[in-house]
Amino acid sequence: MKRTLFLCLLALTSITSIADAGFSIRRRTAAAKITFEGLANLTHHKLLLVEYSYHSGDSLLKSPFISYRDTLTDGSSFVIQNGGKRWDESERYLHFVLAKNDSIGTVTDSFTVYMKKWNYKMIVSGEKNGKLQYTLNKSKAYFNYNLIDEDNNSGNNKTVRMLFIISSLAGLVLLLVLFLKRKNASTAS
Amino acid sequence: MSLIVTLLGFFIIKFVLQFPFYYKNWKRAALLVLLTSLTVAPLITMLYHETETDFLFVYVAMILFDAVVLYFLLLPNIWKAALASFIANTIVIVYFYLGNG
Repeated sequence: MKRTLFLCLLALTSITSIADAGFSIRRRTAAAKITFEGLANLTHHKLLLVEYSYHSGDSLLKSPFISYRDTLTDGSSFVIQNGGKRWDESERYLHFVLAKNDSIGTVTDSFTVYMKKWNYKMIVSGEKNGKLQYTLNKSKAYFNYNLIDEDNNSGNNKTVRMLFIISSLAGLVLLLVLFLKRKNASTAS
Repeated sequence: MSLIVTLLGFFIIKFVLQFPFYYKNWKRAALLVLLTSLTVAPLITMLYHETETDFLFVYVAMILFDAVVLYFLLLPNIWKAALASFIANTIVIVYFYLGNG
């Protein structure tokens, strides 16, 4: 009786936890990330991150004190994780400008990306009349699970996540089988 | 931490720390350590990254889970099971925190 009670408790607790974590019952998002590709297509211009701010307004023209002047290169990325593990609270407005490659660095275009809960991938195709030509792909920012390699984030995250769920369920089922086998053996003896 | 690294770490820590308690049945102890690690490691990784679950509760649940498994499937000695489970899971949770930041 005691064994059956513990068996039920163990199974219920584990399955509830797996359901909670694995099947999106309370699924939260991860740190937002933006990456850039195709910046080599900008021959006479460069793209710069000029401000990393809490405020939505493009302060480039309002304030002469620009906080950042990072020139972006292919593969550049920014992760908004100021809140540490509690990245749900991390949000930033990233202000970018397109500037000429001349000595003054004349700004010809500017735009702002609001970063929270979503990942962005900006693919730059070039520049036309001083305006940046690009496509911006958006995907929900979920935690990147890895099976073997820490740095391998290119795999299908949904599949890897499903493997986490399957591993956990497999371990639990095998333990339950051992429980039941032992119970039957002790009943027979 | 990747799943393989987490699983290996859990297995080694738990097996080494539980070995002195169950050295007479070390093969079965190893099997149980493998299965409990397989159940718990991916599950707490998901709980850690996707929920706001209090990890003090998770830590206690892991100790209880292991204690129940050791008691019913290895040796019906509750004190041995509780102590082995407490020591192993304390180190395991520290390892998990170090690995996941």
